[in-house]
Amino acid sequence: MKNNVVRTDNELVKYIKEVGESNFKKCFQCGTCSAVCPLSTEDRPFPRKEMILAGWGMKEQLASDLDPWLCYYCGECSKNCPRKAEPGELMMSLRRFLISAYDWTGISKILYKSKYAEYIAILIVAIGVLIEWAVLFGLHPAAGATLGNAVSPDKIDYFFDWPITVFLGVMLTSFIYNMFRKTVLSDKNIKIPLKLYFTEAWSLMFNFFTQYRYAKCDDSGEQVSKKLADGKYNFWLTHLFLMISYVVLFVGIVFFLDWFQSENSMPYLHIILFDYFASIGLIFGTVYFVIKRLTKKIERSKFSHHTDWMFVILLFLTAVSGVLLRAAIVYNFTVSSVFYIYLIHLMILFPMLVIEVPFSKWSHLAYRPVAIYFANLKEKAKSLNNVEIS
Amino acid sequence: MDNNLGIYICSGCDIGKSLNVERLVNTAKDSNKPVVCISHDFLCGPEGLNLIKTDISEKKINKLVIAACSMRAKQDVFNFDPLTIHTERVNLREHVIWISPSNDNNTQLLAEDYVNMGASRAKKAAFPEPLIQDLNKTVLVVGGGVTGLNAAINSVKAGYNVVLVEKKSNLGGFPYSKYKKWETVPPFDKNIWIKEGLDQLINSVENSEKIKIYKNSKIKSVSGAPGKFNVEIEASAEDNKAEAATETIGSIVVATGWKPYEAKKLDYLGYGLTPDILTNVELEEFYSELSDKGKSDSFGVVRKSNGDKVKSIAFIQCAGSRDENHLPYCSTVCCMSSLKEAALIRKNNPEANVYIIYKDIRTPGEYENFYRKMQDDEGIFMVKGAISEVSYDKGNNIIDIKVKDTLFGGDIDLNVEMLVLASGMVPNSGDDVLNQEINLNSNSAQSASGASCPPSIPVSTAQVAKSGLLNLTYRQGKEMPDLAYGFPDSNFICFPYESRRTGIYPAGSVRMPLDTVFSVDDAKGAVLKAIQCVEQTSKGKAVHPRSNDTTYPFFDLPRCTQCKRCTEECPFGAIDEDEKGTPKYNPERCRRCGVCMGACPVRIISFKNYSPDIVASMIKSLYIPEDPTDENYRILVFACENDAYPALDILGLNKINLSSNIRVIPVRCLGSINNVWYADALSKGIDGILLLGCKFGDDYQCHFVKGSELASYRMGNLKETLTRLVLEEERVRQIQLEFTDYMKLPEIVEDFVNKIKSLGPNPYKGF
Repeated sequence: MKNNVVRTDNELVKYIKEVGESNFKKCFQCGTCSAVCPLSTEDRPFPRKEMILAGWGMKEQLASDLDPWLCYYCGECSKNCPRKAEPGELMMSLRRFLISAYDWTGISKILYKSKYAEYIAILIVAIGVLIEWAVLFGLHPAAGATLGNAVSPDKIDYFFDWPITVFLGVMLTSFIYNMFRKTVLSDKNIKIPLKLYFTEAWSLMFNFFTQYRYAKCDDSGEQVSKKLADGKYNFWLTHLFLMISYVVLFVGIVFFLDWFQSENSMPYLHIILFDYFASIGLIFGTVYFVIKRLTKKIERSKFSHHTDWMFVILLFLTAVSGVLLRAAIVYNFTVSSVFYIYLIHLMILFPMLVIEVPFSKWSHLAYRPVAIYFANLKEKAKSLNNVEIS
Repeated sequence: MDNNLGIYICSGCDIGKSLNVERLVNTAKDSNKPVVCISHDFLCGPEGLNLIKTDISEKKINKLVIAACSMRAKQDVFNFDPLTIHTERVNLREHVIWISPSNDNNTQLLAEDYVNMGASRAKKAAFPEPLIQDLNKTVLVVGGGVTGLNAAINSVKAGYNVVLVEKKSNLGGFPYSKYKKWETVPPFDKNIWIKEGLDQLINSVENSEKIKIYKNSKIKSVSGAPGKFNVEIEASAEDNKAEAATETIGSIVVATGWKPYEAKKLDYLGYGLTPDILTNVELEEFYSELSDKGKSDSFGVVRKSNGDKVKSIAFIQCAGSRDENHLPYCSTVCCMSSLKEAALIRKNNPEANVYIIYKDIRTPGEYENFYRKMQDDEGIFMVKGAISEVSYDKGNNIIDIKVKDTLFGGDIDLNVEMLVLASGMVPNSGDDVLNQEINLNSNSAQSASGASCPPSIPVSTAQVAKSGLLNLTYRQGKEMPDLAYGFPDSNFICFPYESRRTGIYPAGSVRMPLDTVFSVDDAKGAVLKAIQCVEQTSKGKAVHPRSNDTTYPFFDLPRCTQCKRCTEECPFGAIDEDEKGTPKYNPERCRRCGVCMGACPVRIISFKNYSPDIVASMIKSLYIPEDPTDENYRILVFACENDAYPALDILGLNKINLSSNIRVIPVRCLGSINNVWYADALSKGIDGILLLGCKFGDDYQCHFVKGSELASYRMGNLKETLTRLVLEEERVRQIQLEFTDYMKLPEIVEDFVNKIKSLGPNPYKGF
């Protein structure tokens, strides 16, 4: 068989070094990382494979690699690495690399490389929101106007919510298609039958809503109840709670904004209750992760990239300003104070949505389940092919 | 000579509790008729020692038998002038009471035998007459590279004159021609490359009044012995300006370094396909050329084929090294030098990709820090793998390297513009003489030795004849014998720097593959050895391993049959021959192992305190019971003093029981065992003979290199004798023992005793 000629890329090695704190070049390929990894399989021997690909800067192979998304950073590899090469952190860096690889605009790459670029980007979006707001509603509420007049929910819907929904939809879809092209279509050895796309769709939904692979990060074989009592599922459950909260609030705000702006504290009991819990979820989750990142006691939170901080902070501020806004409305603050709180909330929310969701850390919300879905597709197709051959 | 024997039996350390000391004193008196025979309960204490000293001065005791602890213990206490008093140590503690049951008749018999053996040896032993001479103490350093320069300067620092011979026109050796070398001071992590160091050293060597330098010169011949080597120096072939000279030399440090492995033999790695495939040494030369002999610091590395800047370059490590078909060993420097080269390329061509394909990266000790630094460079890519093919695509001017069994889990292909083969070091230890010449030599040697003497050198010890380096005028050949792969024979662990030519000490990469950092220390080590040699020799004392021994073998030449066994078998080439084959002994070259004594079929070689006759009388002094019961079997053990005897001591320290059937005679080396002793022992009625000696073979541990192997070889001749006597050949057995094998001793002895018991008693018992 003819080997593929190896192409190495110094620049890529440098980039991966910059977007994380892994010493992956220190790897001498002993394989301990993959041996201790609870999720790694024979077909997907990560993170060892990635240590090699990254160390040698093999761009094509890295861009077509789904494995970084299948890793949930339990940190066993980093703990056991004899060279302290931090394979777990490399997988994190590679997820950052992959986000920038799927992003055809090139924005992610810049945001990951430089924290100043990220600050500036956030500032630009916030100012954009301010200008748009000023155009729509002015810089002061009109004297004597009701909240409905001063900040019309319809206008918010038309000029903020729906455009952002469309923008995020288009961006993420195109990025995911790019990912599909690089990771699935590029693999000429595998032909995926159309039927599989539908039969495997359950895995997409299942993993999106459960993040079940987190649970597999602990393969100690203890009783589920014991693991639960020992707090081994805390990170997973908090992460899940945070993600569900986000999705609920996003859907709520985009489609049911009227209810949020209603002065009645409980217009539709089930919705509002759900959203109240979601707000708690966001605040609890972000605080939990900030504490983890500050204490650095677990492998997952040992290293924090500027995008990690930016993400939790923006999310936390969004939630806090959102709760404040809701309180202001329910407790009948003056229209002008609600007006300003609303503006501030949007100036936080939109940078979070515009920057974090497609171009930065938040995009893993989409990529992780999609990657599992793609991986399942490839695996199933491969086993089908094998059956046909035999 | 008066033989005033004094036997002193110590009853301390529980000897008195385990033995009937009174009975021991009485039997010693009866058998040996000493002037004094007493026991004392603390012989090594001031009172006991005073007792002995008083007897020496008042009763003129000159033959002391001290039956106490091992000869390896209390050497500082029982320390009497060896030139006037013979001190015989009988080991009642480690070899009797600590390994045998207390107050047992067999233990008592064992102790009595040992005292009698000691007494008979003491009676026969004469006093050594050391050969004290005023000798030349100049150190000859051969080779002016890093090792040679350091050897020279350190000899001077220690107060010795030096003659330095260098074949080239400049000092400095290989590193001098290099562009830059890696750091020479730990922790090697600064990632810098240095050029300094050598010039200063060369200057101080050249300006030293005590160093006489011959450049463009080589050695025509070395004759003589330590302290009086006669060294002829002549101009090296290329240069006729240098004049011939003769120097008298004390000892020699050989620092001739290495030469690169022949690149032509690396054609299987693509050498010769394109000028872009070069060896590591050629890359160093290329660097030197690009940098204008190190004057310029910024230059790009270009392809030799077209002069373009190199964008990708691969290093193949162990090119022809650690490979049975080429150099089977690791040259130790190639990993560091390739890493250094890679770093230099990255500095000069920052966009270049550098690949290093290795079997193992060997950067021992703190060199690891340098490896780690280099590993972290984003443009250096390393992988373990084996090269399956190197091909050259002429059209694209690209070298294709196929690598198999990589740690990436498969095969990879690399396309590079340049390829460096990191090939190994070959020691400059002389050139092989053509085979034909050797055959001629050995034929003539055989015909001269006559039909009655079979060739006495075992086949495995035959050496490839060499010449061209020291050109010794020794009977055994012109150069230091090799151990393997052309490196001089020495035991790396037990006695580094030693060669099999006394007074000649290899150092640096001619001894073993070493880099410049390690060569500096190596030079110091060898110089200390060289100084030790001239100082010891001038006092008539032996060098390692029988340091301070003042005895010499005496050759009773009128009885010599010119069989040449001693001249062939001497591990150190100490004995030359005249035309008739009569041995010409050089005492200064001798290490006093006694291999010649063991070799001599007519027993004309003896030491003052160690001879066929002395050991024979020790054997004769043994009491051999005739009643064939189990406990009456007698096994004679010849134990090598270097490892086997200490192993028995350690067994004693651990109080592990050993059969009481054995009687141990320590020997200088198993190679000093004369076959006559077997006959003496067997005719005396000894049932079996066990030889405990060092491991032999490629990784030998024999302190005299070939002694234990020779003993084994000579036993082949013995077997015929045994068969003639209708004795089973199994009655003599040789065991190779390491010092640390002491725990195996009970089993070894038990096994042999059982074997002898199964053969039955010696039929000659009682004759």
